[in-house]
Amino acid sequence: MSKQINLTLKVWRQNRGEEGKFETYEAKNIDTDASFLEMLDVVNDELTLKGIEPIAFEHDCREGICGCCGSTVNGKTHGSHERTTLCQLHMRHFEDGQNVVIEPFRATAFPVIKDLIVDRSGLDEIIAEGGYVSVKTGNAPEASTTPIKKEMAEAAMDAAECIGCGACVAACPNGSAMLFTSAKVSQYALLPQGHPERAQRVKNMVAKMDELGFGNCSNEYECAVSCPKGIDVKNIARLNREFIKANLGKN
Amino acid sequence: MKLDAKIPEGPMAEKWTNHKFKVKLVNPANKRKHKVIVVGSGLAGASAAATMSELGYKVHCFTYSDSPRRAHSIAAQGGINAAKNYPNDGDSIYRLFYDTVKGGDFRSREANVHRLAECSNQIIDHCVAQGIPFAREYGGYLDNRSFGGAQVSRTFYARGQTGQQLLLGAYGALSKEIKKGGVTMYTREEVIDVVVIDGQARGIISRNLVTGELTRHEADAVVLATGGYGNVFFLSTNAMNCNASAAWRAYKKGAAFANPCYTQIHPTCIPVHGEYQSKLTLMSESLRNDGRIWVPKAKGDKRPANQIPEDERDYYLERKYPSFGNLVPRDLASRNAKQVCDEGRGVGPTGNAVYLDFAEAIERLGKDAIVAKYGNLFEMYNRITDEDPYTTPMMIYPAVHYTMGGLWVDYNLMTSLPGLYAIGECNFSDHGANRLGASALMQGLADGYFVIPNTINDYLASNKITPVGTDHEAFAEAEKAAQDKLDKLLAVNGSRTVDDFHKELGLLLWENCGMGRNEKGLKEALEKIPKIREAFWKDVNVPGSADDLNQALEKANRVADFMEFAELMVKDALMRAESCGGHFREESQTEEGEALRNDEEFCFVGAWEFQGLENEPILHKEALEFEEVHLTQRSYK
Amino acid sequence: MSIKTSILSSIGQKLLLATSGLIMFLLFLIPHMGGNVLFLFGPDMFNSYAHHLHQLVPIVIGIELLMLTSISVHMIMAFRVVLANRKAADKRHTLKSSKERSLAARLMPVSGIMIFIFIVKHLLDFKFYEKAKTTLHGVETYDVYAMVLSRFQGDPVHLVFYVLFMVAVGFHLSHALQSSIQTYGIYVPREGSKIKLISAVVGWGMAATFAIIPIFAFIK
Repeated sequence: MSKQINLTLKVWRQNRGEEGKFETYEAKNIDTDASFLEMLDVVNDELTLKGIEPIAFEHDCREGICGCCGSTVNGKTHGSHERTTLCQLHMRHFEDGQNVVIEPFRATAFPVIKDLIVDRSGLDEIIAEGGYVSVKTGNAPEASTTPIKKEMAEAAMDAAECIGCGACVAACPNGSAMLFTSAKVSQYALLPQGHPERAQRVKNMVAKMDELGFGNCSNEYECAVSCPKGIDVKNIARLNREFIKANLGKN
Repeated sequence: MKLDAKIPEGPMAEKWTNHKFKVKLVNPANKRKHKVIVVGSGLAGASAAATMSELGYKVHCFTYSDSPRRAHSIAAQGGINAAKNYPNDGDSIYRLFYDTVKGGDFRSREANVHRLAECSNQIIDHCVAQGIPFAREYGGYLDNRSFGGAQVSRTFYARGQTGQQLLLGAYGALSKEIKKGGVTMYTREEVIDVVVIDGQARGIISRNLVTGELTRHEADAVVLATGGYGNVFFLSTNAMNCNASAAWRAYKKGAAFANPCYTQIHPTCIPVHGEYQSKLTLMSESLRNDGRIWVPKAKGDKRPANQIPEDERDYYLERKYPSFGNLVPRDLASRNAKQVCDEGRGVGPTGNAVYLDFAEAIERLGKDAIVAKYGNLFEMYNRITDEDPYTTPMMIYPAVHYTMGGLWVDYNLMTSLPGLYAIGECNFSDHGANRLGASALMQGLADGYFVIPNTINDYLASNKITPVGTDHEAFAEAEKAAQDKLDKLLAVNGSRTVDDFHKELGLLLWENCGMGRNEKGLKEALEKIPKIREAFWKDVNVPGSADDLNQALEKANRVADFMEFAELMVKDALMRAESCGGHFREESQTEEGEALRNDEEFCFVGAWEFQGLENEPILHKEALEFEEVHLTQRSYK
Repeated sequence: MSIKTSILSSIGQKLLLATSGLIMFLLFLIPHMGGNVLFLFGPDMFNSYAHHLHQLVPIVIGIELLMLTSISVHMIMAFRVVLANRKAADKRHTLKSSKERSLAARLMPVSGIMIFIFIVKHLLDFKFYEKAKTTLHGVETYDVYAMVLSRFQGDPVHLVFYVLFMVAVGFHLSHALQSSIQTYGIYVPREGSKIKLISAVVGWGMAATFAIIPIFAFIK
């Protein structure tokens, strides 16, 4: 059964081009069936009516699939619950009277735009380097021409589930985008459709990732535990493999 | 205004082929001289932008999100239909066409629907070539499942994330073209007006959501792929930022708006649970394949589900519609849920819910099979409600999900404003008064990959489009109007939040223009909406400034448009004094309580022309002719 | 992407880091450990081993050069990687708790620097140190056994220094081994991984074996 709780929020506030700082707000009478973002809605309504500018945070689908939302809550990306986006985190996981520290996803490659909103366009730039099959509309053969082993299709789907929220980058002690990049590289390495561009895809995507100032992978797996979709480090191993093969001319 | 649907001559199955031959082409060297603006980067927008860029057009694509991959197409769960007939169960292009026309309750344009069915197979071919990991069988071939409103299995899917995978495919194609320089992508840019010069759509005004800067963009044609208007109800399964503003601006600039009263209420959503609730969550329709819907036979039965014996349960869909059972189309499933709840037989704390029970399926197939099929959906349900659907039946209730109405378009998908196109959910054309499951993805991609790249050339090649420059006074006027509106919103400084007004409007529409509509309620809504609108402009509180990232201002600007749009929607519902598909007028029903169409008087598309806010809009009727599928009262019994 | 950029890419650098580390592990640490163990079997055995080693001078010099190269590459790459990572995660979360990072992973730069200090000290202690001579089976040779004994006997400070630095070796190896395997593209699962277990056992086992020598010398 739902009940009402009170929380003390310490929220990161930052304006464009300025240094940020924490502000403290009270979240009162929060229903435990509400989602974390609904809790922020309630707080924002109160702030608005008090004449304080509401907390800016990114969100859209609120079903855990668009990848818009995400903040670091009490030191954990998307909060404490495993395999959950912030919009799907519910207040029943908080205690009455708890202090909650809310920060943006921090990484050098994710500059803060405002409050909890960061610029994740680097992820799009990585995809633009080859996170696709270069097939023009109209080129495709009949869909059933190439059978694909069920296991391969499933493994590709495991990787393709990435929602591009950037939690892996924020959770990584090195601000690395290896898990994100590896998920896309894996999807196309596992499917025959991705094979013609395999070598150049992995080289270009890794080069872009480095260029944008994402860090190196030190195999500490923080990314995988923080991923709301459970993308596995298996993909990072595969990315490494693909990279080695591509540079040895084996693809 | 005269509406000409431009339906090609010839037999139904040959119209599209003939049309593609007859339209004027733009030669490859000239394509790069044409600039096309695409607003929106969902399935329709991304696929259209990518494909037009592949053809050589200079494409500028806009999204209010931080990335094209965020569009709400991503949330579609169940699947995408195609007439491949891989299961060998008697499917064909004609059957998909037939099912869609019938499913839409004979309020769609046959020629468009047939084209949609024709394109469906190409979409699957293309998406497989793009490396979309569709579900496969052990033999390595593509798997299908069944969906509401059809007796064949024609739905292709990628777990419960088909929309995500298809969108990421289109986003990949778009990214490829961005990299090549064919598409210029504008993210965090919201299009807030369409610029019309000499009767042609010639550009847009866009607002940078980070800096607040308004910019002018000129183009030879503008394609709106901005989705539906479901968020007018406040609570819907649409994403929080989905809005009708671009379409509404286009309407105010001269594009006719068709059938705004056609909204789809999806039967399987998680019920509303509190005041603070910001949106509703859909549970895929595919659940109805194995879940059985029921309520207690007795009114006010408050026993927990597992204590209600089998003979005291009413599996009302199976009882009333034996041949389709739990897989009746969405409008019927929703209306029946409302009916049993209205009778006082609803379950859950609010009484506004019905059970969706998997006990029998788990017994028949084993829990593992259910986990494999619906694991992620069950997990999502558990996360939101804190209940375990493997042991207690799910509780569901209908929620606003999709809007069949939209900007009126001709066969080329051009609106009544020359040079302005509308694709995907943004237009009205293919689903009539009710959309079948797994057809939205199909339509979005058909429009984007296959239709508009083959029809926009007709306009570009046959019209003289001279450069006007963004210094043109029409741009200056549109920009000023946009700026004035933003300033006005900020200046009100009232005592109520934007959401507060939005909720009030939404609740009114849900009560009076939701699943059941009647003359009295609609008239009452028509009286109340202008009052809410007036109060909004007098008492809304929008903090912050216009030259900064200001989410409250973004929302206020959209809600201001919903305040106007709502009135048109209710007017349309009042005008259409018949029941069809998602539009159920209580005055028009059979003795058994089924929707009763009135083909004599209402077999037309109702397209509204703007005449200024103070004046009544003009209704244009595009008569619907049915050559292939004969008008009959729909039956799923 | 040219070869140079590939090598200096994030993955390229990590591969060099892993490879140079593995070379040191396989061609130096393992034989060295094998030799050290002989210490436990008395002076004859140990001095004989040292004697034979000296007869393989060309090979030893070759390996020494390889070690010098490896350690240089290892350190340069480690330095570059750590620096890049600091830069990439410049903006730290005010509050950050982690569930997954092991202490060993966290301490890699520290344990690495400690090992470097240790190597310098170790070389000064034993390699570049005047050694006494003895006779073994009628052949004159260095008395390395006595040298080791003399280093540790009655010198607890020295003993503690050596043992402490072997702890650094244990930490470093237990993460390094499994991490390099993942870097080569062989999947090391997050949970229940045999590779992780073997890494820890080998890493700590090796550190313990090395640590036994000074302890043994001290007690004897």
